[in-house]
Amino acid sequence: MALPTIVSVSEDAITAVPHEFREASYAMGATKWQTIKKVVLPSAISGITAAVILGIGRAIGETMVVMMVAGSSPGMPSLIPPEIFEPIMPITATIGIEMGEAAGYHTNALFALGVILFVMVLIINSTANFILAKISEKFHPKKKKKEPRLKIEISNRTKDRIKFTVYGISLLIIFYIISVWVGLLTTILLILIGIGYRFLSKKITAKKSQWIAYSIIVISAFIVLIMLGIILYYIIANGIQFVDWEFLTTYPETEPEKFGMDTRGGIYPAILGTFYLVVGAIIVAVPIGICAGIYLSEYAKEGKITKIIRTGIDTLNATPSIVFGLFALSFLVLFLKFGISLLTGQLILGFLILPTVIRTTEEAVKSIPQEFREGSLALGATKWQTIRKVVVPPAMPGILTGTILSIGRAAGETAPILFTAVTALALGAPGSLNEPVMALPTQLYFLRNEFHGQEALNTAYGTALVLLILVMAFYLFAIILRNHYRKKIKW
Amino acid sequence: MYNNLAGMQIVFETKNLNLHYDDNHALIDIFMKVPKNRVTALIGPSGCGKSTLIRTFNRMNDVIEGCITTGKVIYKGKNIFDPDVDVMDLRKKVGMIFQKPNPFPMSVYDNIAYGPKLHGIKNRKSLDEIVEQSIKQAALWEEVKDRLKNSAIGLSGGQQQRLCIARALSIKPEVILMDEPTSALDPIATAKIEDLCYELKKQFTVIIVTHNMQQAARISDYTGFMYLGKMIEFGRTTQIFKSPKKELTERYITGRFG
Repeated sequence: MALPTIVSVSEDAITAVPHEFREASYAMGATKWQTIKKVVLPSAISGITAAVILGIGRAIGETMVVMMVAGSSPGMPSLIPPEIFEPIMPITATIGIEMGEAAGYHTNALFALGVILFVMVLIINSTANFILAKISEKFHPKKKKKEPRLKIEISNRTKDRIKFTVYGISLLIIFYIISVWVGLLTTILLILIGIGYRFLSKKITAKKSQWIAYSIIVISAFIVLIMLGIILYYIIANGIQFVDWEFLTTYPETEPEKFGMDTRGGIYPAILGTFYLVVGAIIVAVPIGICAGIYLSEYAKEGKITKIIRTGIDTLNATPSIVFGLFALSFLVLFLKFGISLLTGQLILGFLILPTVIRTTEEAVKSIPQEFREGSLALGATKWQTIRKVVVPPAMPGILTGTILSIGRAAGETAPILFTAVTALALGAPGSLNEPVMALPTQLYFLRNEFHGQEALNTAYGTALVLLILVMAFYLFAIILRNHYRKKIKW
Repeated sequence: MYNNLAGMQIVFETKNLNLHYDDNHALIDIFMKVPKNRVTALIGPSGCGKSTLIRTFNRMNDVIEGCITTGKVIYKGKNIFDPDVDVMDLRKKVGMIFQKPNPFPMSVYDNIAYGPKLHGIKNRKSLDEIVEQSIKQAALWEEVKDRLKNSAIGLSGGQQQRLCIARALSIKPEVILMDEPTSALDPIATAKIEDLCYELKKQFTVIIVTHNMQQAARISDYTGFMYLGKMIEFGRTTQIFKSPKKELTERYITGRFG
């Protein structure tokens, strides 16, 4: 689930590395792989790390996938180191499944779980941010370091000892996790390979290491493609026979006396509902997000405050969508009395995608060469004129990527709207902002979990295909738009 | 230091100008006068502060964080660092050409029309006129008149730099600052820019930073030699190059720098 985010954002960061760097490296007789390893990756490291953080955030917070696949065991996992083929019950799924039936203390407990999940994500995210800061400090050393106010004298020997202990412990932990996961023998084999590589690496020529690196890169690319292929094939093969015009334009029928636990009919209101939700989320998030991203990179002075804002945004981004759901339920639905409604769904999906829009806008705007700004300012342009006419247009492809990613996310998101905006069955098309709607992803979940029948399963497959096509259509449109901008603006 | 400026109209005058980047003292006690309708060159080894100095004249150093300027730069009887001075207005009067050609990623036409549009000219016809006139002034018209709608990024380096000059001219400045404008260009393109400087001084005041001493000798009327943030010597170009008063200047000009 985290993969597409990481791939896409990393690619953008790597493309943004100026071509001169590469040429300079080639000119010194470096191989392509050496250039990538020593020049391109270090320059792009902040973007790539951001990508990984975004990806991790996505994986931890994922509710729906684990709810339908992994989280079907309501009991405690039997062993503390869980076996990988056994169902488990992650926090996200617990909240998702039990929120529907909870009342009183149970609800409070679920909210507490939400807090725990949030704190977990906060810790992971801060760790990732800390690593990012360390890495970027290595490549962009600060001009001067402020003397620490309190200087604790530690001898180098003690330092080494501490380092050794920390490394030792982390290695042991990693060893333990891996050996639980893939078995002891495999782990030892992996370690041997690692040690072997370490010894051999001195003997490997630049060309050979280039070859090895390429193989790994190509294999990774193929794995991504094959996974994508399998997913697409499976969904299309299962869903295609159920999707026709009638399926898309009729209302679902679920009268229990007629069909029992099964259903009939189409998904027209769900398509409409998802459309409204996504459009609403875009209206909420895109203008604010782009403005905030521009503010962060162009106006805000680098310092403590921007750091706090950035950490906040990253944390929001990593915040599990089910926590957004809890927030929406307690704040929007109950406190502001919006009720379970389309408006709540639009707002919460907007909040959900806001961090992505902000961060990608910021990265895109930052990658515009300083010379453009100076050229414009030197003509007597105000800062705003410069941003509007010279900075933003060439940054548009990058900004659109962020929007593309987030729109895809909003369209497919289930957890935050499950208890705040949708119903399993709408009698008509959504009429106003304060009525609940049907949505494709939640419909998929309901069909799979609330109904048990062949027709319901077929409808679920059909719904999955429609959702897939819808999301792909969003992406395709945005990619065309992006390429159009790329062609128009070159530098 | 002000010798040989008698009878000249003065455009810029710096008084006790000091500039710090964080803890780097980049400009030290600069006193200098820039005569009108002349080409004034600033020379000196890398890192001597000449680019920093030229960037104070249109306050481009404002963009750089941690940059603190003290002292005065008088332009038209007013200190440009006074709080009531409109920086945008100053930059409109004092145009700038950068070291690396930096055309915007737009068409040739839009690059030139950018400035006039900023300052409120919307009429298509007058824009057309300004674009044509500016490009002609920058001696680029014959080369680009058939591709005004093409992207400026497709031009050669020399053409791009002249485009940037045309862009600076489009808002009818009084002073043109050039920060090593030919350092990224080939000799032919350089020669074209140098000729252009000669033409430009009839209408404008030109201040040019250059690494190339021959260039300073060829095109400038006045030359300032800077070293380690200080203005070592300032005077007529002929005097600086033929009979420098300071030993440091002489050593630099004769290439015996150590």
